[in-house]
Amino acid sequence: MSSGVFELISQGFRYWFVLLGLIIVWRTLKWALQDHRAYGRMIKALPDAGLIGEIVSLSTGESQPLPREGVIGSSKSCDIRFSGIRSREMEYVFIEGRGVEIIPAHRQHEISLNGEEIGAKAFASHGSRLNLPGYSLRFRLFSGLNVPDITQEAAYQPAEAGWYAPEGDLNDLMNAGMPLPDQLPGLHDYGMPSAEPQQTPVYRRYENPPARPYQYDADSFQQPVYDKAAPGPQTLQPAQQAWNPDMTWQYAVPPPEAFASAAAESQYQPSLPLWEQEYHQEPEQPRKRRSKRHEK
Amino acid sequence: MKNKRRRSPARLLVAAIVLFLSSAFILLGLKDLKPLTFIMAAGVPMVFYLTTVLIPRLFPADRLMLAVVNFLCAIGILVLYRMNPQQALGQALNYAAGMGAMLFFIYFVRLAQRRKPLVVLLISASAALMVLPLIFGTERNGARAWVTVMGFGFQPSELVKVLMLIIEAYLLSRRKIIAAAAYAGFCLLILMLQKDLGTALIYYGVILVMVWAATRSYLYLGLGFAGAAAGGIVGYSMFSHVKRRVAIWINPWTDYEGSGYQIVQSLIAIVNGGLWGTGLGLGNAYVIPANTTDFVYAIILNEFGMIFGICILAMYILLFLRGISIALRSGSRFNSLLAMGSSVLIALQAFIIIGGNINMIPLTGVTLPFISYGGTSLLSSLSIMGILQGVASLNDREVEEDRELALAQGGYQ
Repeated sequence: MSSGVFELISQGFRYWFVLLGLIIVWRTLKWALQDHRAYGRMIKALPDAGLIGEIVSLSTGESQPLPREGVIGSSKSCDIRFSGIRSREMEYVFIEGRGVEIIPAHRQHEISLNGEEIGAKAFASHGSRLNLPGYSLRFRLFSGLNVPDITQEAAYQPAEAGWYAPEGDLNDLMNAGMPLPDQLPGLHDYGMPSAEPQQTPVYRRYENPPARPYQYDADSFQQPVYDKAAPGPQTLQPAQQAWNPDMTWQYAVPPPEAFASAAAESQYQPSLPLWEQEYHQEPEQPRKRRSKRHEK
Repeated sequence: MKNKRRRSPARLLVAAIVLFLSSAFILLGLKDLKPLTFIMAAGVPMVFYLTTVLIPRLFPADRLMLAVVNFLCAIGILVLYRMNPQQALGQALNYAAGMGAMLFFIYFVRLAQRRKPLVVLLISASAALMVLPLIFGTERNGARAWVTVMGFGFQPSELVKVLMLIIEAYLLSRRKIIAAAAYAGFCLLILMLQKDLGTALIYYGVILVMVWAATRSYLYLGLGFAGAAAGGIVGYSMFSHVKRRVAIWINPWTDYEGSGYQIVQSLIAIVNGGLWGTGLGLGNAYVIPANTTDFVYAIILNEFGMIFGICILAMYILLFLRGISIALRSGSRFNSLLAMGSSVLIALQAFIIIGGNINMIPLTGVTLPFISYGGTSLLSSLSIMGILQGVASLNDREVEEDRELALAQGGYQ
């Protein structure tokens, strides 16, 4: 090909190359933006993306989201911050199949896991209790994570605030059908399993006494503790005697006047038996006429 | 009813690049009518298509990043073929080796997460490689940065770049700032002794950004800038060739036949190309010394024009933004720092050499990533891309795990 013809073709191709270059940049940009939007939609649909659970302060009930790895400390660059501790207290990394690896940032530390001081590193799992200076924390991990079962480690701690150690056979207590109280209100809305052991009944002291066969033992029997001082042992009061409303002892039967006055106070109207009631039917109310416009 | 088929941007991008490469090589073939040129016209687009489409199916790779990198590599082979066909064939072989390195680093990043013994091994290997040119090295273009083994010359500092990224990411993810600074200081000291100031500048910039990303401390950033200024002043007063390059940068025309010849010829070629270029095969940029390595961007501006040159620049910017996006998506500090360092390294290297070509900053002898001729350079650039691809694939895996977790809890539809 002669140089003149090639020069003509090559100069014509300049615009073609520029056009293709612009198309390539535009398409790359469009592809990147599409991918960015798709990722944004995915993240929006997965609000817990990048998290493995949360860490809960047992004293305040406050929780902080737990990324897959991070640093706990008081510095603002830390992923999880607590005031009053070192700027970098410890690091943690979630490792598949082993749990959350805890690595203290300093050799001298006061970090303990499930009540035991940790050395260079330790592994926590769902329900593990982490103690930092001034803080008692609990790991709550999402269900579905590949972590070892540490039911024994996650057993309740009687000394821990809000936990009550019942005496007696746990199976009896579990079969009592008592409702479990919300230990950490507001945390059950995220679809996460409870931090407390699932098979352990937890209840407030004496509010829901366990259903166990009654065995009276005069030696070990103790009176329940009430806000007011419990009445002392007393003899059965005769019904004709003046009724003391403060007396709530089960054997104290109130006089009939007390029922009448209580009924009057509560505006209670005893109804007649059904067969003695007169048939009463309320007059039918005329139906309001609706305009067609209203129907439309 | 008309069946509307939605066009994917990926397909159109690949089609546009294949069209570009085919037409460019056919145009070169019309000039010299060599059979090799027509083979290249069929082979390069085909290899581009296969690597861009097939690799993401077989390996965990980010398709968009792979398409951009393959496009830049193909542009490099095209420009090299225009200037020196032998170098283009060598670059094609380097590309094949680089793709192998990229795949290796994809799996390396996926498998080697926070392995302390591995990092100790990498530190030892990088230290040995860095010291190698001081003992066995040969001097090229004023820098004693090359080592020749069995006839093959390579630049150890290019390979150490990759190791440096992994080591610094590991140390900084563990908040071992002093250890990271000590390692960086060692590398910079060796590079200063080798008089390889361009590479030292890249190392310094990347480590500074990584330290800032890891600590978010403006104090370290300020100290870093102060250190850079002090290093610049010391380098200017100590090294004569630094003084010369600064003088050329300020006014290249003072010695346009001597030390300023490269820059002057580069500026003439860029101006000669104008907006639309002189036309492929019609340029005169071959008069620039080191036109296939340091001044390859000047050739692109000369023959394809400034608009196309801006398109190439935009591709680097998009690659950088993609890398930053991968770094931000990562849930792991190590991976995040690794991706951040990788993307900053490529972008900084491209900025330094493009800025040097257009006389925006003093010229330093570094290569334009993916485009310039050089086996070690292409190998390290593609390895860094492998690191980025590995982090991107880990991000995808984490998102998939999060999705499975959400499905297990019934919270995702």
